[in-house]
Amino acid sequence: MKVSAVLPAVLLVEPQFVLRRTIVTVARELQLVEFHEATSVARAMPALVSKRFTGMVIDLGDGPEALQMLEQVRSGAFACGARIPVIAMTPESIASRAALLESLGPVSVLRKPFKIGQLLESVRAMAEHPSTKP
Amino acid sequence: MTAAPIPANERERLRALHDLLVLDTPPDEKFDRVVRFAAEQLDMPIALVSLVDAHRHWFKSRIGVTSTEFPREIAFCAHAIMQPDLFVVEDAQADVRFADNPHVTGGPRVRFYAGAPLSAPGGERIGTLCVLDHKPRSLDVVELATLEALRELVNDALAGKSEEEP
Repeated sequence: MKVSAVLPAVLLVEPQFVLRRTIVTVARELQLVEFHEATSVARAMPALVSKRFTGMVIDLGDGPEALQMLEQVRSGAFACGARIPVIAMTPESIASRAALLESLGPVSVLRKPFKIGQLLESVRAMAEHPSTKP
Repeated sequence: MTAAPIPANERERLRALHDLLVLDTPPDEKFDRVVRFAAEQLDMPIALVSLVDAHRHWFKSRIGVTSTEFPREIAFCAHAIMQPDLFVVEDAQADVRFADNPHVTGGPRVRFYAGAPLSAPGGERIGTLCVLDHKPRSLDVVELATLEALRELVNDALAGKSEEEP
C-alpha cells in the first residue's frame, strides 16, 4: 500500500461486504479519497454527528432509512453541513422514491450493479465539487 | 510449453497449504461471492480461487469451469505463485511459455490470464485468485487494483479472519 497524503474523508454506507471492502481498498490504493465505512444507516449516524465528511456515498437499499438520513443531512443536522455532495447507489428500481431522491440533490446516482471504475469516476468528480472546497 | 516451476520453499509452502485444512472441502459462500464479484467486475467468463497442491491445482471456488482440479504442470497459477505480484498473460497464444499449453490449445481455450497470488498466514504463496478469458485483453489500473483488493479478502477468508463490520 502506498503512503497516503491527507485524502478527502468520504462516508461510505454500503451493507455488501465484498463491494464495500473493494471500494475502500481500491480508492485508497489509487489515492483518491479515504473512505470511512458504515454497513448501515444506523452505523453511519454516529459518524455523521462526530466527523465533518467532504462527501458521502450511500446505498439506498430497500427501506426508507437512507433517504430519511439524507433528508436530515440536507436539513443541516450533521457536522458535514447541508450541502455535502452525495453519490447515491440504488437498487434496480427506485421508481416510487425517485422524485424524493432527486429533491435531495445527489451529484450522481449509480444503479447497481455497476463497475468499481464507474463509482470511482463519480467519486473523483465529487472530490472536485465546489462544496468540497474550503 | 514451460512446465510449471517449483518454488524454492516448496516443502514449507505445501505444509502451510495443508495446515489450512481447506483442500477438498465443500464450496463456501465466503469464497464464492468474491469469485462472482471478480468475474462480474472484470467481465471474465472464468474466475477461480485456485490452490496449488503438490501435483494439482484445486479450486476452492470456481466460475466458468466444471472440473474441480487440473494437473499442476499445466497450471498458469503454478507460474503465478513464483512471485508476490500480479501475474498477467495478456495473450497466451503469443507467449512461448503457454502457447502450446493444453488449456490454451484445447479445453477452456484460455487466451488471457491474471492471477493474484494468495498467501498463507506465514506468507507462503499457496495459490491464486485468478480470472481468465477466451480472448486476449488487458486490465486497466482500476481493474488491477480491484483484483488486488479481492485477493486480500480471500487471504483473510483463508486465514479465518472474521468479517467484522466497522
